[in-house]
Amino acid sequence: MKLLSLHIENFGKFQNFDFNFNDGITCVFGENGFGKTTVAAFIKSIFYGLPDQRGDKFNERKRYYPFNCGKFGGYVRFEKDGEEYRVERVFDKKSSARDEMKAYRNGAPTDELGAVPGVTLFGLDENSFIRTIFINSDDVEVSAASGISAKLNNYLDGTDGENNFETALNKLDKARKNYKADRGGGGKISEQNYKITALRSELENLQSVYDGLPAQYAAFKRLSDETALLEERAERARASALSAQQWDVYDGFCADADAEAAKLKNLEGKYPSGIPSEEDTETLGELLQKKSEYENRLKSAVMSEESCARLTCLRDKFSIGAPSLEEIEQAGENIKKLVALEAEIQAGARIKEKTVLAENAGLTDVKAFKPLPFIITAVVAFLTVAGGIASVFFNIVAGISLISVGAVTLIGDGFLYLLKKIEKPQNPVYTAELISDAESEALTANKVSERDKLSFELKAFFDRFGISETDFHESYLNLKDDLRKYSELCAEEEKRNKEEKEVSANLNACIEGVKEICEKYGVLNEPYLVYRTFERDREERERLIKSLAALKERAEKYREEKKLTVREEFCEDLKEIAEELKAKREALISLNRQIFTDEAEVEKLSEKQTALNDALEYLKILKDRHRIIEAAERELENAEQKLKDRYVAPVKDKFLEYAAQTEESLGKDISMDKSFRVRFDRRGELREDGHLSAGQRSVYALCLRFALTDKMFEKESPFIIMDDPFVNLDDEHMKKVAKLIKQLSQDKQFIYFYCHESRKI
Amino acid sequence: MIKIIHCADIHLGSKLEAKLPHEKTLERRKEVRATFSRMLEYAAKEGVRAVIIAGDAFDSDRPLKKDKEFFYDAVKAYPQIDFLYLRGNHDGDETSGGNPPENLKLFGADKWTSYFYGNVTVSALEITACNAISMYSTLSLNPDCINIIALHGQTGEKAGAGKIKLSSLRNKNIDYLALGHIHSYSEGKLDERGRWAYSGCLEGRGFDETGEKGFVLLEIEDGVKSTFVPFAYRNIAEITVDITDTANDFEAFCRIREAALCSEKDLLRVNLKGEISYDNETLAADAEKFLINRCYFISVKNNTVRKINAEDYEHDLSLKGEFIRGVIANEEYNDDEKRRIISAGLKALSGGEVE
Repeated sequence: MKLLSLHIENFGKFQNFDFNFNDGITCVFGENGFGKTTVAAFIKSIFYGLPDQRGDKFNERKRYYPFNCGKFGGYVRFEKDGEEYRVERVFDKKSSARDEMKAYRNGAPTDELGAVPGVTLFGLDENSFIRTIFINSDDVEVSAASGISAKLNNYLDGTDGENNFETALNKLDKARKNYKADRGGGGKISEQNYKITALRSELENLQSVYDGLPAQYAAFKRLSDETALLEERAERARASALSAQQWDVYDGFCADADAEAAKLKNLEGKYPSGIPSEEDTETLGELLQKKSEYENRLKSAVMSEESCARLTCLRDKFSIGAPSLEEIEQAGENIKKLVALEAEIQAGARIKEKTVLAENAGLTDVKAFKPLPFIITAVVAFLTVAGGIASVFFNIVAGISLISVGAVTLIGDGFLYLLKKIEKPQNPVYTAELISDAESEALTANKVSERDKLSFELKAFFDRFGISETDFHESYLNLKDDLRKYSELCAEEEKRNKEEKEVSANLNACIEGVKEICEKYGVLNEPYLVYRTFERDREERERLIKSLAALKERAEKYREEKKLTVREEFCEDLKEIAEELKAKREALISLNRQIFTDEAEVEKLSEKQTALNDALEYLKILKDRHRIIEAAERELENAEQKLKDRYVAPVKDKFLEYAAQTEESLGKDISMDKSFRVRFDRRGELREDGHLSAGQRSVYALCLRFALTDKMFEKESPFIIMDDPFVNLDDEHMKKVAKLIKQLSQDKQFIYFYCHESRKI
Repeated sequence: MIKIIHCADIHLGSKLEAKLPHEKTLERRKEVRATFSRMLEYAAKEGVRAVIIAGDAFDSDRPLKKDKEFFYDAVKAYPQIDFLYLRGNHDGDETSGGNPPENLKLFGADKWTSYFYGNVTVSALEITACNAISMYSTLSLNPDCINIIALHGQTGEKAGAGKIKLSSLRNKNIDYLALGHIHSYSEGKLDERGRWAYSGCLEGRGFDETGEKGFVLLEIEDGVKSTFVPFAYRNIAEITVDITDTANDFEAFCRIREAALCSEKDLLRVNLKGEISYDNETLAADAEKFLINRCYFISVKNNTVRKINAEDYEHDLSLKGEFIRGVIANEEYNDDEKRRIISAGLKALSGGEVE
């Protein structure tokens, strides 16, 4: 590939500038400020463009922006593989996005050169282009100042730092060992393996727990069944115990009934002839009652001592015979006559016998004074007054009225009572009618005689009964009273005697009856006690019968209620069963708890399985990362080796070839590492290029670049632009270099800018 | 009107696939039970006559004692409701053994078993290898009845153990085909007369069971009206977030946060995708920490790839360029491995710590 010509429309100081290139070497001479670097930069910009202008940063776009502000750009013509190309570019002031580029092949537009023709044509990016075939004066100066070897290292390495490969390798090695140590069991992969082993162990344990569950379920079921059976047995035993208890209760009831029956039997045993019948008992009671009544009647039939004494006295008095009633009445008449006679006699006057019998006790009518009505009236009046007083509190008018009425009534009643009391006659009143004196004397004598006779008769009459009082009237009254009393007492005595006889007969009949009943039942106690015993025993018997019936009924009812039919002969020991049941239940609870615990563990199975899967997956990832890092490490080493194989050895050979032609002092014993760092053997010691002179270093750098270019572009070498790189060479070395370049220019195009005639090739 | 609930795949005692922390795993197990209990409360309140469990009431053919006791206790608590329990592929003999409650009605594998509710007939059969072919011909239904069939298996065009050949169930006078086995609700037309439906599970258990979960309420009068009732306590969602243009992990987290529109009760899986130009080894774990309070549980899967512009290094003559070209040219590695190897190498070359 070779450049044919260039045309600069506007670029830096150049305006409408054309330049044609030769085959081989094109030398461009110019003083400083001529624009050699601008031309070189223009060529580069046609192939690689210009960087964007950002801010005030001073870069090539700003640096070469035309002074006259005209159309910024131009074109370059070149030939490659026999085809002629022209690449035109118009640059924007700031942005590459607004740049325009056109490419032509043999005059026709083409896009085969792509957006960056330099890359397409040279196979180099811009930096690589700068570091190889574009050797400007600045770079040479820089190389000269800091050492071309370092520049070449940068070219190859592309990054800063002298030990980049080693650093990168160490990083990868460290990372790889972080996953898996070369020795021992360290690293993430080992740790993960341990974790997986632990998880597998846990899983195996959990799986064994899981596998053990069916047996536990079966055991649980068996225990449950056994517990259920035991519960049934316990229930049966409990029922049996309850039944036995109930039978006991029933037996107790029966015992109570038997006790009652025994009592009854005992009671009935007291009466060999049978328990006294109700009739007999009632009869006995009645008899005893009658007996008592008769006895009482007998007692009451006896006259009182006073009556007896009186009767005896009267009987003595009337021992010669009691006067008849006619005699008594006659005596009474006689006494009245005697009194009358006596009165007539005593008055000495004719007495017209007229006897008016006033009131006398037993002889005349006597009106008895009766106070009861007055008392009743007084009580009513008093109550009226009291009512009136009470009414005053409610109705004063009615109260006062009642008090007034009551008071008037009370006063009236008192007055009438007193009046009546005064009117009452106290003694008999006799009334006589006066007669003439003659008649009176006659009459008096008769009357005296008659009086005496009567007195005599009366005296004799009363003497018969031992009455000697002179007052005949009193004697008459006494006799009459005695006679009445005597009659009464005699009648009473007779009546009592009759009654006594009658009662005694009845009493004896009663006693016989009682005796008969007592004998019937063989009881010889006091009859009343017998009766009470009968009655009590009968009541007791009835009570016992009722009680017995009730107890029997209670027992039967209880038996029916509790459904007691058959006494169970065998009754399991509830306590024993309960203990067994308790043990079973505890075992069941324990097993249930164990199942619960195991199930909780088993539930972790899936999580653990997931964790294991995750761990395995992570192990895979770790291994994969390890493999990737290992591969990266390996690939980096391969890359280094390839780089060496591809460039270093051929470059070294070429370098030695070119060095032999230009600077023998560089020697043949050199070493070139993968970074193209050259070390020179000086008496068995490899020395850096730092020991070289500036001129030697320039030659060394040029040889190295030519060697690199030869190897990089073996098919078709591109042009090489040299922007005054030999300012540090002495004439001798300049000649050798010029010779070499001329030699190389046979198949390479050199564009050589220089500023001093001494550097001319 | 008769109301019947069709549910399935309750998976009591199930392990949870969401890789939750232990405490949340225990909590979710309780929630699965609680949702089942809550469904029964709903059934009682709505006067549901029967609950069809179309398989997999338990997660294992050897359920834990406590799970079985819970199920039986729950059934016993609602004696007015019949539980028509068809065993599924996860259920075994032990799942219905012991002393089942009287209102737990079972279906067999020997022949079609039917339960009658007026003119509504609920029939089912456990599909086994023995009856998988013959079950279609032995199914005979009264056309005058409302016929509900319950089966547990995967629908398809072939018959076999655990498979349901829908075409062979057409024109069999089926009004509603209550299916179990698939954990998401879906339904479709069986024939001119009937429809089929998977009720799905009651609660999602992992990120492979996203979407609404619940049961189907059947209201039967002249025909069968089926309504899916979303009932899960928590929803499980999965989203994919492309974080290609993010410049760093913080930008990525913010983008995930914007996309993660979920409630605090939900479980969320975020799948990250795209090419990123920064380190992505710990991105998922870091994102989970960043969004930890966003919802009940979040899981982030990092499917991003490290962005490597190989062409940038194609003409780089440095060790870096040689390294990258070497990796890219090595056919032993796949693209992902190449990206990761290059990422590790570049990080080492730039002096960073390789993880």
